Amino acid sequence: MSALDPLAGACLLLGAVLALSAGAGLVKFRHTLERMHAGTKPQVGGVLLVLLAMWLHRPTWANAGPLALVGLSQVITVAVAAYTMARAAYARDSSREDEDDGTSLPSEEPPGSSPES
Amino acid sequence: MNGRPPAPRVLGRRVPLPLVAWLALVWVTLWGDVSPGNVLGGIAAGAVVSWLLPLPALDPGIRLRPLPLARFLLCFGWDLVISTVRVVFYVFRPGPPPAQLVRVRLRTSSEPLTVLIMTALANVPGSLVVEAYLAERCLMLHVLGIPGDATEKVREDVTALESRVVAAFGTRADREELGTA
Repeated sequence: MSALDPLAGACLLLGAVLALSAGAGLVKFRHTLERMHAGTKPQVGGVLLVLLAMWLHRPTWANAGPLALVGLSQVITVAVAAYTMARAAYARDSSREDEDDGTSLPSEEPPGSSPES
Repeated sequence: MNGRPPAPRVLGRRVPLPLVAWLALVWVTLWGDVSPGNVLGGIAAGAVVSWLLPLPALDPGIRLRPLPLARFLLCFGWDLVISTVRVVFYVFRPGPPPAQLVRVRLRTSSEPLTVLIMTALANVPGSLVVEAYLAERCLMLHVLGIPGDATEKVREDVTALESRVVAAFGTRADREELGTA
């Protein structure tokens, strides 16, 4: 049992790093479509790795079932959410290279003076 | 089994057996223990739910085939790893990431399979479906993390993915459409 624990720990850490990179990507990327990449994908990889770590910690069939269902639900819902967001962003033509499309971090200016997007 | 799944009438309402089987499987999975009581309980719960809340008995248009399915899942997992690394690399590298829109033409005309292809693409980092033109069998993808002109590479990848999805989930007609039956 405990022989698998280092592996479980590695999966947990890797999943956490992926979740961190998703957050970093949200801050760094400039357009909605690019942000969707960061916000959806490393997230799924991270969650799947954390689920795998949970299973490695207690590798029984009884635990595998619910974890597999959670992972499957993640995969399906992320796909739907990403497509919905991406489609709306694409319809608004937000992949322009030069300007921000209204999803930038709030600036230090007082509210009401933000540029129209 | 062409057209509708088997659905015997119970008290004047159709109960689709595949749906009952799926609900029973989820039930047993959540209890985490395959005992006769659990299986019977799952079948009973599934039957009651499908009888109380009737849905139109449609053919989902998906057939599972074990070996191609295993191959699809393995390739999908590998894709997930590779492209996650690629996107994470561009997250931590200074400067804007390479990104572009690519229009890809699909060969299959089946809507359920197109949905599966879109789900797979959405979960692979670096590709994002922004628009689907079902009538023209086209997908518009937003691709991140491939420097240079990625159009050809993306089209090859999507075509390969499409072949694997159709082999794993397609009906006979779908497979014949791609000439891989």
